[in-house]
Amino acid sequence: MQVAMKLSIKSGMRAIAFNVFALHALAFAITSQAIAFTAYVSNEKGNSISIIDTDKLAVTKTVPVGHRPRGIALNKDGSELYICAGDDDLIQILDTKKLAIVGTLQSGPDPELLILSPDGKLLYISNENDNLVTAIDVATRKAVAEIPVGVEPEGMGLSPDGKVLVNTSETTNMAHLIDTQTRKIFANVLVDARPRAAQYTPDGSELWVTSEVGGTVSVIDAASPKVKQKIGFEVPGLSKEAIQPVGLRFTPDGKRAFVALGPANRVAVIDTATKKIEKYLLVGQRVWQLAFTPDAKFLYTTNGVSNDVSVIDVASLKVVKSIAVGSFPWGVAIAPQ
Amino acid sequence: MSWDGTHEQWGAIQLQNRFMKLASRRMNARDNNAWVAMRMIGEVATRTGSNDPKVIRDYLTGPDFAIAAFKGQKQTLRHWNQQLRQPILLGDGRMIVSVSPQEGFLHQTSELDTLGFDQPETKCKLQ
Repeated sequence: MQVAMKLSIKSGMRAIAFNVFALHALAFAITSQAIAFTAYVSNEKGNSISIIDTDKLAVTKTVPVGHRPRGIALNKDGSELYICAGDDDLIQILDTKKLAIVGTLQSGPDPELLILSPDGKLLYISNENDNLVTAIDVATRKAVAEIPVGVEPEGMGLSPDGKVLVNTSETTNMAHLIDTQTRKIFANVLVDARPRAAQYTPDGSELWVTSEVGGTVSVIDAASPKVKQKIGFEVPGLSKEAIQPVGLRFTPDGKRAFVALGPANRVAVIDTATKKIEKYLLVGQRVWQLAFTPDAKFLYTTNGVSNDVSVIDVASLKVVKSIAVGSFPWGVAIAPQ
Repeated sequence: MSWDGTHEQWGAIQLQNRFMKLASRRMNARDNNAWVAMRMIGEVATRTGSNDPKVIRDYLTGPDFAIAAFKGQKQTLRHWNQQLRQPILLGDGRMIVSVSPQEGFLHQTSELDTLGFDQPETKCKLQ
C-alpha cells in the first residue's frame, strides 16, 4: 500500500494528461500485493509450526514445537503465538520474532482450541478430555477459571462485545453459551451431530455453528438464543456423508461466510443475508480450519490429508495457490507482520 | 470388525480414553455395540425432548435419525431392516489398516449400503 500511496501522491502533482498512466500504476501496485503478512500453520502430526510469507506464498521456516499442536492463536500485537500442545497437556508460547518457545501456560489436560478475549487479556481454552473450558490470564499466565461444559468440548467463539463465550461439545451436540462475567453457562442450544466451529456474525446478531457429522450449519438467533435456520450442502457427485462442515469464518463486513467441508475437499461460500450457497471452491483434502489475512483479501485453509494450505482470493472467489506444509496441518493464524 | 481397542481415528481415542478410565481396558466390539445402542436412545431423547418409548421408536426408525459414533461419518438406520449403517474397521488386533466402504464402491442410497446384504438381494421382510 505504501508504494501505491506514493505513486498516487506523485501522480496527483503532475498534469492531468498523466493521470491515466498513474491509474494504471496504482492498479498494478495494488494487484502486485505490496503487504506481506505471516501465516502460522500448526502441523498436528509433524509436531511443528510452518511459517508462511503471504507475499512470497511460500514456507520460510518450520519450527519444531510440542506434541500434537492443534489450535493456535496470536496475541493482540502478533508478538506471541499460543499453541495448544494437546499431548503435552499445555499451551506453548512462541515468540514470533525469535521463533522460539519462550514459555508455557498450564492449560489443563489435552487443550485443543483456544481463543483470545477481544481486550487481549484472557485466553479461553477447550480441554477435550476433561469436559472443561479453562480461562487463563495472559499477563500472569495463571488459570483464573474452569467452566464445566459438555462431553468433548471443541469449538470456541466470542460475541463481538466479548460478553458471550460459546463452546461446542462434540458428543453432547450442543453449543454452550457462557456469560464471560459470571463464567457460567446461561443457555445450551442443541444442534446437529458433532458440532465444531462457532462464530458470531460481525454485527453479533447471529451465531453460526457447524456440525461435522450432521452435515449442516445451524444459524442461531443470538438474542433468543434459538436455532432459526439450518443450512445444508449438496455437491454433485459426492455422498452426503462426505460433506462435513468444520471451520467457519465471516468476512469482516459480514456479507459472506466461508465454511470448510472436510473430506468433501471444498470450501462453501455463503451469502450471509440470504443463507444461499454462492459457490463451492475445490481445495486440498480434508479441509479443516480457515483464516483471513488481516486485509481480508485472502483466505487460508489447512488441508489435513493433503498436507498443504490452499490460498483463496476473496474478491474473485478463486483458489490461487497451494502451499506444501508439514504433516496433518490443523490450525492457522495470520499476523500483520 | 465393528470396533476394536486399537481404533483411534475421528476422535475415537477420546472414547477409548473415557472407557479406559471406567474399565481399565480398551473398548472391544461388544462394549462398543452396547455403547452405540445406548447412544442411539440418548440421541433421540435429546432430539425429541421425550422419554415416551413410542415417540423415541418413531424418531429412531424415521427419516431424521442419524448419530455420530466415532467412525468418521454419520450413521443411519436402513429403513427396510432397521440395521445400523456403519463403516467396518479392517485390522489385525494390533492396528486398524483400513476402513470400508472402500473408495470406488458406489451406491445410489449410501456408500455404506455396499456393505452387507442390500434390499434387492434378500427376500427377508421386516415383521
